[in-house]
Amino acid sequence: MDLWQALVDPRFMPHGHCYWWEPAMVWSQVSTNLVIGLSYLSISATLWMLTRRMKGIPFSKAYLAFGLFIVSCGITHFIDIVTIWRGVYWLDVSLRAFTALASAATAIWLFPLFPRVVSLGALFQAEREQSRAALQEELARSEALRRKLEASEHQFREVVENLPDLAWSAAADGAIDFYNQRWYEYTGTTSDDMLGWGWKSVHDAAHIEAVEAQWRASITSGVPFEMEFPLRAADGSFRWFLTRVRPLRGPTGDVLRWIGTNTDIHEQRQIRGELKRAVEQRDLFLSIAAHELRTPIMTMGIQLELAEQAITDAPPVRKRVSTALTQLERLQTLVEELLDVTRMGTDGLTIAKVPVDLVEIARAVLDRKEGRAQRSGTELRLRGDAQLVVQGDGSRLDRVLTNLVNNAIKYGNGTPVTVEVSRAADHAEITVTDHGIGIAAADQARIFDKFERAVSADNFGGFGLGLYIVREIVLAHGGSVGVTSEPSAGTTFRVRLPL
Amino acid sequence: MTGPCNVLVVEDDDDIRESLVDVLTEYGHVVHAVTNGAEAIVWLEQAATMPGLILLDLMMPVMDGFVFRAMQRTHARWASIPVVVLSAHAASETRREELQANAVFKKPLGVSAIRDIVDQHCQNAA
Repeated sequence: MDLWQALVDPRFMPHGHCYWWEPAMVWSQVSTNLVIGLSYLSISATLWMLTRRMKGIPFSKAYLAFGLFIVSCGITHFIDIVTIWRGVYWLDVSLRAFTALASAATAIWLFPLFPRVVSLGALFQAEREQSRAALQEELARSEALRRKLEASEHQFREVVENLPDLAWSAAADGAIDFYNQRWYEYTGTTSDDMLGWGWKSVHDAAHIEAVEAQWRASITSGVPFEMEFPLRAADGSFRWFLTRVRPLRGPTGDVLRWIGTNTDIHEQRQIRGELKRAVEQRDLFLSIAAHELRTPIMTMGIQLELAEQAITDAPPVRKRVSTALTQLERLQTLVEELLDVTRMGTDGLTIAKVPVDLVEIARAVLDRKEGRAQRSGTELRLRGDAQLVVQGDGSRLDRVLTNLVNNAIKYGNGTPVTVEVSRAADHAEITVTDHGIGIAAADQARIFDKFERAVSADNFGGFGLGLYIVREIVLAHGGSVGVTSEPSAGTTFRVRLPL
Repeated sequence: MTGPCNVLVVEDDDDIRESLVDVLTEYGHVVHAVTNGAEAIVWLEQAATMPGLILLDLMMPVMDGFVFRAMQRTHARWASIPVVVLSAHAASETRREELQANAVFKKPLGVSAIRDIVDQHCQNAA
């Protein structure tokens, strides 16, 4: 209390006397000191809040010391207001002393911080420059990217504009926003005509519904679009186009755009149609030819065979009938070969695979060839398994065996012909063996080619198509065919079919 | 089987039909011949005894072999008669499943093959 009494010692004259209590001076002093003091308090409050809010700012204690110095400065100004009316100069000077201490301490403490602040400033500067450089680099990079994109966009337009096809691109929702020049040239439209779904105006009414349905399905599902439909040309006529649309996907797989082309296939379609009609006509011809050629051969065959059997007392007549039969069989072989080769010639061999028993086929072939074999004095033998089922085309495999047995009888010179059907580890094997004239090693490689034969055509007739047909059929089944032979000892043909 | 077979031949081509009759008669079989599927149906409806075998052509006017076979194999009395198809067309091969015949043979066929077919497939009614 004594200290407080001493501080507020009333003996001193209030400062107001110095101003002669002139109100203008008094209130000027009061207001200026009040503004200065409040400002000091406000500044220190701001500094305090700054250090509280911004964690990790450097030299935060220096801010606090500075704040304390300012607060004390502010308080001296408030005391200045008090001393106008009350001469508490000891309190005044005490607070000033405290302020002096705080100021001096702050000043002294700040002094050694100076180089550190300077270096920190330099660090900030360096960091600022670094980030500015990085920013500039980034800007340069994006500029280069933009130029590249521009170039690639330009290139894309160039390519699209120079395409022989009509081309366009659409947004993800299917709205077409770009057509190439060819489109406008062909359709005779303008970009205004084509706005939105304006493309529908160049479609054929008979197809537009299906086109739109499929296009909408593609837009919904993101599946590429491919379809053939007619488009109207500038002169009003329609031509067929193959339209392909591919989605352009972003990194997440979403469709960004659609790129479409319309390729003129009008002539191709016409040719395709003509070709289809030609194939149909050929097949019809083959079917009629097969029927018309086989029917007389069968009738003649039966009648000649019956006649041959009936003639028991006139050997010369019987021999003539026998010769006629042999020639008829030759004619039959030629007809079958021609029909087969004509069928294979244009569209290759199509086979329908079903389970077939090779032994049953072999038996049927040998049955059919019995008459011919007898006439040439050839004994036909069937050996091997009782049944062997493979996936195959029965009539075609019948043809394979027929051709091989025909050859064996023809070149066997009356020696026995053996057909053997057996199962190996992963395939079925059919061998046809004779003991006749054989085939020279040099000829073995080419006998499977078209129009080739091992011996001269003068001695043995035929087109030389039999083994070619055999090979084509076996290959179409995924199998293989080979020959082992020795001149004057005989020949074995070996057919392998997958099980 | 041994002994004569009761055969129904269904074939539109006159010469082939007559030749088949010749062969079968030669081997002692009893043959009835008609020229298409419709005639075969009429003949079957009137027959006192069922044949032991039907030799069936496929491509015929009025009623073809496919239609005849479909009718015959769903008929109570006729379904059990063995049917062997003789055809000059490749169609018989591709539509073999549909026919469900006892056997399918491609023309031309010789005498011995025809004889063997009858021997192998004939089932005379008791």
